Amino acid sequence: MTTWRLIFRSAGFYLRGHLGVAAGVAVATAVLVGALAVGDSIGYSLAAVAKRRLGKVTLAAGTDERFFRAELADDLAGALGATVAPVIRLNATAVNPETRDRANRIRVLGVDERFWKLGNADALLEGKAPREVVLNEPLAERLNVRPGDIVVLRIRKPGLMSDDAPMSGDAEAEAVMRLTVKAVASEAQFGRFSLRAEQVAPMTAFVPLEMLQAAIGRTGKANMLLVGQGAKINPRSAGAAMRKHWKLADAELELRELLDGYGEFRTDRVFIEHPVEQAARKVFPRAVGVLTYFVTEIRCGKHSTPYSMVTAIGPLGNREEAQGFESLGLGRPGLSFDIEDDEIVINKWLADDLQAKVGDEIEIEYFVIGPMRKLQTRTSKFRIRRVVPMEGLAADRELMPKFPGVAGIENCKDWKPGVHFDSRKVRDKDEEYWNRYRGAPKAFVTLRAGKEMWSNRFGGLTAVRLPLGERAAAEALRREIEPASVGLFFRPVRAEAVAAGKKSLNFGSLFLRMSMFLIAAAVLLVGLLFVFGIQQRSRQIGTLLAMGFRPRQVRRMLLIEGGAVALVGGVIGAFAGLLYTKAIILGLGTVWTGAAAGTSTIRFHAEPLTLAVGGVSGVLIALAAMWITLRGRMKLPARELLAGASAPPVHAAKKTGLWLGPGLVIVALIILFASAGGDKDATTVFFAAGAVLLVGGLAFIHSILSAFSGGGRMTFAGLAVRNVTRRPGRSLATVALLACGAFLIVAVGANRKSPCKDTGATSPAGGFALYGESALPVPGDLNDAKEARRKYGLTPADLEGARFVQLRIHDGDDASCLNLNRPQRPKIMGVSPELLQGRFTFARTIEPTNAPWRLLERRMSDGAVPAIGDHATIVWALDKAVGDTLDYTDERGRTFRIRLVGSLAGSVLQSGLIISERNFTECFGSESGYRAFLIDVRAEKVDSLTRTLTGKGRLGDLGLELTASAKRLEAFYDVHNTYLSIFQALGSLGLLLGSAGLGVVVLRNVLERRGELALLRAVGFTRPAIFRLVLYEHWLLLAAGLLCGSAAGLAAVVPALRSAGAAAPYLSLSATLAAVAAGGILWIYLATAAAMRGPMLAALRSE
Amino acid sequence: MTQTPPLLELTDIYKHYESPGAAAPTEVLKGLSLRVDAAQALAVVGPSGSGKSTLLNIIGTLDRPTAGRVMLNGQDLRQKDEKALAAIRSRQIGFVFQSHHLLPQCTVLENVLVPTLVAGQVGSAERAERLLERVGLERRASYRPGQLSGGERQRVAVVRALINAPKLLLADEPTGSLDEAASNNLADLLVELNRDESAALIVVTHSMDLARRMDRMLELHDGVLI
Repeated sequence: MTTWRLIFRSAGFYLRGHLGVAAGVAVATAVLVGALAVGDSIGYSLAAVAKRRLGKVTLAAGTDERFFRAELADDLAGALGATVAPVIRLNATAVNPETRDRANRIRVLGVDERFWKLGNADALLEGKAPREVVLNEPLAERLNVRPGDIVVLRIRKPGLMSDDAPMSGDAEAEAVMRLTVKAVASEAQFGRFSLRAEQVAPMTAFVPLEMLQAAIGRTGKANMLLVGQGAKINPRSAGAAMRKHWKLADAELELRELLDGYGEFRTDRVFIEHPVEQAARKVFPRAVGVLTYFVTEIRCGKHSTPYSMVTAIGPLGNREEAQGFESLGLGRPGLSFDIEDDEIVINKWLADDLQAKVGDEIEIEYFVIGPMRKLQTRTSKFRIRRVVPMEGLAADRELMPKFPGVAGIENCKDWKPGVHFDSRKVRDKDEEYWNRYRGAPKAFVTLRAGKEMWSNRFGGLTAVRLPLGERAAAEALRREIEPASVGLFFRPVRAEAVAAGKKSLNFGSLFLRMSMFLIAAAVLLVGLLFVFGIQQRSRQIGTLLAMGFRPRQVRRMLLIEGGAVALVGGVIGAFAGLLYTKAIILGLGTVWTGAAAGTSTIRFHAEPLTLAVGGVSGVLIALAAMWITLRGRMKLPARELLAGASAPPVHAAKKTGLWLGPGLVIVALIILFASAGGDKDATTVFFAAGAVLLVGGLAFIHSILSAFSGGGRMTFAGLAVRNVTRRPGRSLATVALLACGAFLIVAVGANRKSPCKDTGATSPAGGFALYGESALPVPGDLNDAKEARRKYGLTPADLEGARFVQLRIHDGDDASCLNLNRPQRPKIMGVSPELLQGRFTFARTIEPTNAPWRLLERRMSDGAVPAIGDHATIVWALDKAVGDTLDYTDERGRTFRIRLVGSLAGSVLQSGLIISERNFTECFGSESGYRAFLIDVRAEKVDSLTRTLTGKGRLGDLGLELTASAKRLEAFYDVHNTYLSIFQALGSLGLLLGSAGLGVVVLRNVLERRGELALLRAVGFTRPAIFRLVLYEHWLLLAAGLLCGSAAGLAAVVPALRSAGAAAPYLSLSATLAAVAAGGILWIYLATAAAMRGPMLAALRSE
Repeated sequence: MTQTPPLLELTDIYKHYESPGAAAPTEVLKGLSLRVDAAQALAVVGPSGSGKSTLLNIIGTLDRPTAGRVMLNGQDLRQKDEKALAAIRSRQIGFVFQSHHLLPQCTVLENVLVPTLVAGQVGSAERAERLLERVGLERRASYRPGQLSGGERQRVAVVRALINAPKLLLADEPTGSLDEAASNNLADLLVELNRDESAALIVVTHSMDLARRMDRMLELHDGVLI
């Protein structure tokens, strides 16, 4: 005989009793494994999506706005020993001309065979294939096209200058291409390519690179480089290769030779970017900076000259270093530096035209670009210092940069400078000047004065002139410029994708949390069944103790026995968990599609480690439950156990116990009343108060159970109460299980949201009935009736009653709850804070304020950019809190910090972070126009306005897609509500187990008391009366549990019920609770009936 | 001439139990004293509720007296903690209860050997087989308790109590659930084993037939032995 043999014998002998325990452990383990395996499956699926969308692509460089030589790809490929594909990536819209099916906001990629190589796919298009396009599956499906069909792509034609830049011209900004669909690229054929960490496939059209270059007028150029895999491929090595191989042309810079060996740096972007200017100042301290601007009028007294060029010129470095220059003529007769900032030098032609002379005051009028690309007229006054003859610098037509719509135009009257231009003001003599001198400036001011007037975010110079040899100058400048500062830097897109998947919303943990109640119910059931088994063996335990076994030894033996049972349950549960996982994945793909944002990409996958961790955890949790329940049993002395006692005697509640319950209830009520003053930031407080109320309620019930056990008046009801209090631990466990279930069901159910009710300014819609995004930027102000008519063909009647708030967008990962990945570079939106003042409701702000949107204008001591985001975006998508920071890379490769200064409560503005427009243009200067729109319009006008904006005029062509805010919110709430549904479904399963537990308790109670009940029968109680007695006492437990849990649950969700969009389903909640109550009653009835079957008096005899 | 020290000596034993509410405690034992020598057989009789089982529990270290001293084999049990008392129960005391309390999951032989799991006795199996043969159950060694008669079960319980060769065998109403014939058989067995195994025997019983077969008979009356 050995201890193990004894344990083995016991385990076998009590097998039937153990089956229940094993089943409970199996359920708990299955739920644990299932939850973790769901996490595995989602992680695996996201990784698979990342692999499909990136192919071999490891690094990527470039933005939509900047173009460089496609040849740079060849240079880098040689240096890195990897495939480098040049790509043009642009936003576009697509239409099936036959069916009129339309896809807004698509991506057009100009690719060659290198791109397909990166995707491990056969080249579906040749680089020079004429008029052919390959669509990916989502786009082909949207357009309802097949190979051979025709599609029309409307592509944004990137200008040389940003649309937001002054003098960017009014030229056509679109290329329209009518193409034949050559093939539809599947995911395996790299059709899913995207740099964004999103599980929903984008809509993409692939066209031959050369064709796209030609269509947009960027021959030999690309705006994206994709680097494949290689042993030494990383951002550092690629950055080094970039520094070595990039050329000034890749920053759209050129060095032109001027007369007499002088050179001039200039750019097709018109304005030389600030980093280039800084580099030039450092390398060429003696160079001359030039800033030529288009002015609308020059006035002197009664005379005026329209539409002229004025040049600001001066030393790039400080004046002292530039002293070596005798004149600014750079070798030709010209100007000297000796003028002051309020002085102006004019040429002879202008002096004659204005009849001006030295000493006269001249006023120049010009446009600058304000917010919303509004042209603002400014004037500046200068005193004439000198009048110079029309020669040398004074007649240098090269001083005018290539202003789009002006340079190269034969007649002044045909100019389209992009600012308000009245050709009627152009006189014959102006045409003559243009014919003879072209863009030669008519006046000169100091560089400092010019910069004050015309410097903007795109640059502060139009040329840098210097007396150096061309090659040496170009190389010196190139070496000084960090390529990242002109947008040439690599992002580790593969590493980001891995991080996005790994740090994705942890579904394993989420499901685990949602399954917690179900697990708790199963574990409680395990505890109950185990302890009942032990109670049956109390005499046996007493015998062992009498034989000299120590309580510890007996407990250990019982635990080993229980552990063996738990192990069997755990193994079964681990495998059952895999089936459970498949069921959940099936649910996520069918009834719970909202939780995984409507994607069907989730595939079953379970790591062996998950199986092990889940299985071991289930067994350990069950063992812990057994250990806890055994502790109480082993406190009984052997003599009592030998006498058949199975539970410690009930003592009247201690004073502390009696006060604890009501005390906690009072604390909870105080919290509730204190927080009821409208503080909308009190969700956590209320939930805590609810939890305290629940614990308080349970403690109170425990006190009552203990207090009534001592005695009282002997009535039928009193007898029922006395019986309930007979096993307070057992009764409390039952009440607690039911109360927790009811608490969760009420608390969760009441958090359901519906977007339909409140549309006011502080609602989740912010008072905006429509939300829209466009594929192509809208540069102007849609609130400006003139501009709306002129640029977009919209009449005031079309826009009547509509107010627009326009936001800039820097594309990034979708940070809304619709994206399962952890956004690595969330979308950034820029807005003027004053436009949103009083709109939306803030969940939290970094500090108390009445004007939370103004926080976006706050200067942070650490230089961080303040940002506001939706609360769900911040908490769930970014895993951050208000006050936290995240690092971001601007378009020049510089890392800057974003500080979250506020969060919006459940708003339409999920999906990105919002910063001030000023900060936006500083960080993403080359991003032009507005691509997001909040539209405040009366409800009855929503449909007609939507039709007008997307169907009439040019906004539809820009890929504008409008969604009713309610519908957008519904999509977000759908995710939220689906999670709640899952939680409720799992909670209901838990309650089902809980009510089964109640049945077990009833059965056990009645069986334990059969002798006692038989005695009641013997002394004259009728059988129905005894039945009623048993029912009453257990219904009492059921009622106590449900009432306590529901009350605490309701208290916990007061803020949710008061919040905007709250849509507590009172009816379904009540129905659920009623169903639970009915189920409980049924269990009690069945258990009582089962236990009382058979002749009761036989029990009396055996007693 | 020196007197042989007793195996068991109880001096001025008091035992009371708290009553519910404010009622006075129930006094069960009131200054009871007792001396039992090695291999002596003693019967304790008395009416129900007189405290017989309480006395036996105190002797068997399953309960502690409210006051008084219990000396077993020269050891003062007051000084012992629960662990030491469990060891004493394992090595020096054997119990036979009114109900046999055999483990239904184990065979007869295994039931007999269960106490050896604590004591770690060597050669226990041979002793168990010898004892079972002694009580006429050698052929029942592989049976489960459920397959035995009431008398047989009680004989197994006696063998189990003796397996560790205790110095003191305590029997609480050992014939209480047996018929007359089985009671007589068990009584014979207890007397014989007391003699053969040299273990002192204290029997608490209502059965005067059984009591008379012991060396001494004492009556517990009003908390003291007379």
